Amino acid sequence: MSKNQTSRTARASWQAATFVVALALAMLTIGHTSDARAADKSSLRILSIGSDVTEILYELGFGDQIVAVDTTSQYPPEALENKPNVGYMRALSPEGVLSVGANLILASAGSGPPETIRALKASSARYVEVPAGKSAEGILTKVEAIAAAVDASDAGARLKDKLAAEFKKLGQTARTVTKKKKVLFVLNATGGRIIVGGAGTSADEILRLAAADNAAANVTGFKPLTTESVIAMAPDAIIVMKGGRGGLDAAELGRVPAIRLTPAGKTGELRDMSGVFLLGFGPRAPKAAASLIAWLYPERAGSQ
Amino acid sequence: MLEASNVSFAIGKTSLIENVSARLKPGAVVGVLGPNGAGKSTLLRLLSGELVPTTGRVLLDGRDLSSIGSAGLAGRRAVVPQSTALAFPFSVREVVALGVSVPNFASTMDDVDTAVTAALNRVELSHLSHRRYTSLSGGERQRAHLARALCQLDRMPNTSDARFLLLDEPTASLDLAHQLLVLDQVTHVASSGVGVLAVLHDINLAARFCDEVILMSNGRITRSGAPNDALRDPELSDVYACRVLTNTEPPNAAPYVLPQVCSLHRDGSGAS
Amino acid sequence: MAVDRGDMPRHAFARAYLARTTFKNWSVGARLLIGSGVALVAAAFASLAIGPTGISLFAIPQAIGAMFGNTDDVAALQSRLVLFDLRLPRTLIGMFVGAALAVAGAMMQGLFRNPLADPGLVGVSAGAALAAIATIALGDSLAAFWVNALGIYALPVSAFLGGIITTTLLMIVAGHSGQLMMGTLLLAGIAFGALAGAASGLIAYASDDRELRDLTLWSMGSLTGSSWEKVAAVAPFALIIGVAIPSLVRALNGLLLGEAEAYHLGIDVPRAKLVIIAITAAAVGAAVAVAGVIGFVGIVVPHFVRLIAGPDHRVLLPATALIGATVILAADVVARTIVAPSELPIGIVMAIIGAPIFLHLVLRRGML
Repeated sequence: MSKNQTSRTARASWQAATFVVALALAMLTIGHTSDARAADKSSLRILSIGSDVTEILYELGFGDQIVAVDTTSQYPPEALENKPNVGYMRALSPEGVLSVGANLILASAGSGPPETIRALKASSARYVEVPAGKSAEGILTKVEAIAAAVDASDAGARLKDKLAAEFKKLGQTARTVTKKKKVLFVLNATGGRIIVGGAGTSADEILRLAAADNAAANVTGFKPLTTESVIAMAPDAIIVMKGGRGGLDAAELGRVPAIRLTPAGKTGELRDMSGVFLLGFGPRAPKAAASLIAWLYPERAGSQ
Repeated sequence: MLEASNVSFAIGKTSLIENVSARLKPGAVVGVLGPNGAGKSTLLRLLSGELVPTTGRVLLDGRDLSSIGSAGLAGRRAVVPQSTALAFPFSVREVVALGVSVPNFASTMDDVDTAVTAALNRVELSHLSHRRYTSLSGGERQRAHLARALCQLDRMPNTSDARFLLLDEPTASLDLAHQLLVLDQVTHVASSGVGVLAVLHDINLAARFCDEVILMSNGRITRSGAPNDALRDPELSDVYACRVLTNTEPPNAAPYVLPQVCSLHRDGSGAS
Repeated sequence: MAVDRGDMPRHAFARAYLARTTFKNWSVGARLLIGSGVALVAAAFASLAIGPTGISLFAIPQAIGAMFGNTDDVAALQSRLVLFDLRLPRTLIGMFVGAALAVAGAMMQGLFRNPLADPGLVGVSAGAALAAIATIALGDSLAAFWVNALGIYALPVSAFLGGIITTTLLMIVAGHSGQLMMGTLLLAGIAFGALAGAASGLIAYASDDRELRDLTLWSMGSLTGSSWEKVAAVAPFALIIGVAIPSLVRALNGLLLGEAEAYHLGIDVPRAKLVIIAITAAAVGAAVAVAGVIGFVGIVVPHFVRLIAGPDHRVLLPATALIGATVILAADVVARTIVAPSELPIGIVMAIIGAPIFLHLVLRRGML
């Protein structure tokens, strides 16, 4: 490098450094805004983490008290649209979460990373962990925990009763199903590769609630399969999760040659469904299961 | 005294050098001659400590090289390699200054500056001092490395110990004038008490500048001694597989060797 | 340039400072070091002062008060939490990660005499990543005892051990009668990297949705999980690396000429290679352990410094450390404020900011 160029670069880097210092100093003054929050104990400012937590809070009538949500909270639509979003529930930024100024943090048990959770527990906000559950009892426990945290035991009891009744009715309907259908839950499908929900997944749980057998019960977790192995699974019906990244929808998947060979492909029993609705395991879980039953066993729909 | 006594070196079953002995005395220039693959560079690398002999020993003042360690050796001898490819663009000055960057060399910045400048002057590279090493021609690079070695010799801490300079084909890519310049510098270094060993291809240059020559072929020493004695037929013709005319008139002057018809039945190309 | 880089930069500064009064007369290296030092201080201040909560450095007295006095002031407690327990450890971790990755890159490039070398090349990163991925995915089953015993340290310790184990294996494979064969080391490193990558893929295949999400997030790199415990965990590494580096400068410079030439210059080449690789493994392992996989720093920062100040490690290593730390801090400030209250993975920010700058430099000056 020539001497001239060298000194020019050195000068430029010096100028850049000076600029950064000036910027930092400016930030020192700009950053000094209102950090003294009036902590009015009577009014709750809730940060809700987890789609089930958010839905239960709305059901309990605490939607207006929610000041921010996480990215999994997509229902009701206003939760996602109008509230600040603190990001994905397993990658929460501690200061980001603190900046929304919540005095109650209701977080689903899977929230993380652990360091952030620890910092949140050390903050002035109250931190309540909501247990994760994918059964009828689990959902009722969630409602109980959340109602206790927001001090709304009456509303909580009412919601619990309502959900318990819905689950009971769902159970009755499910028991009348004599011949269970084999259903394949497709998370995402591209040309030759299909990611399905196997044993131990939330898809497996909702199928159980809906009195259906998981066609992919012999794999564990969400796993990519070839279309060929789907033929061997011989599903009677296929559910395609809507809102995935790209991928085929139910109609397109139905036209894939290998899928056309399955019972579901022959009868055309393929359907798009919302993932948040089916797999959220919040207060809409009985409805989700019921709508599955209604689609899978139309003859039972009348008894609902 | 730097001395190889009955050294052999083999890689696996391939023997590169067999039973070679050589001795470097302070103030003397020893030239190593021979066709390609004769083991000249291997001998130099054994003497530098870079290679450890399979059998035999290399001794510096009676001590085995392996017992001295790289830092200790660097305070006693400098090496100019055949060719060096630098991956990163050091300037010529920086390459030369590396010669001073040896453990135990006490040096201040001014000392280094002076030593580097002097060494660059001695090899006539001052005008390229701030050029990138990577932009130099082959000959300029060789001179830069010689300057680095001169620097290292200059800064050696204990002046009472004998010092040594080992050069691997230092004139290979040089033009005529710089060949003479480099060898002049080498004899100048030797006159200050440094023992020098240089691998050379040019028999006539060797004859003119060396106090002693070693003629090697097939990993063995064919002949050694003063140029006048050693550079004689039939050994020369045999070693290079090439008929040569040796002119030894007048008798005390350096012999002059002229290659005649060559019959190449080895890999070599004869004298360059 | 008026002052030559003849001696240790420290001495060069002192000398230049005493002899001359204007910055203009200082050597490029000295100016670069001072400039990057100032930039790092500025970036550290910015990192402490900027954040989504809007708490500024003016809250420091308040926060210190909260640390000693048993105050009930909620705002003061919050300031203390944000400034001292969130931003300060995050800034320190960021500085360590940036400096460690950048220096590790510079050392690998010097050792292999290859401007494209990177800790990733010798499988250190892959080994560290594999160990961390295994810990995440098997934490509930096979590795449960490990996770239970170490708690939140399980991941950092695993990543570090993964890096060290890979490096040790490589040195055994490439070591031949005390000599380290660089060609074998590179090829074996690539093979190990591929193997570790395949093993990581297998584990990812076998893991459930939640674990998979964790793996993905971790592989994008983040300083989100910074804590005082992690600062304490990397502090010994920072100390070892900091102490070892000055003694490696001469060896690295000599090695640029070639291994034989380095030996002729009095460098104990086998030992130097061993130490350089061990230090690289420690730096990368510790950095990956606390911040996940962050690319780009190790290769771009050393090149940037070489373009400005040349390849001399006396300037290269300290300048690389300073600039690496600065770059990570700056990128992290952007990562945690631009989509607040959420965060971007820092690797993404780094690539977006750094790649065009680097390209510009290369195009303007010509590579090397």
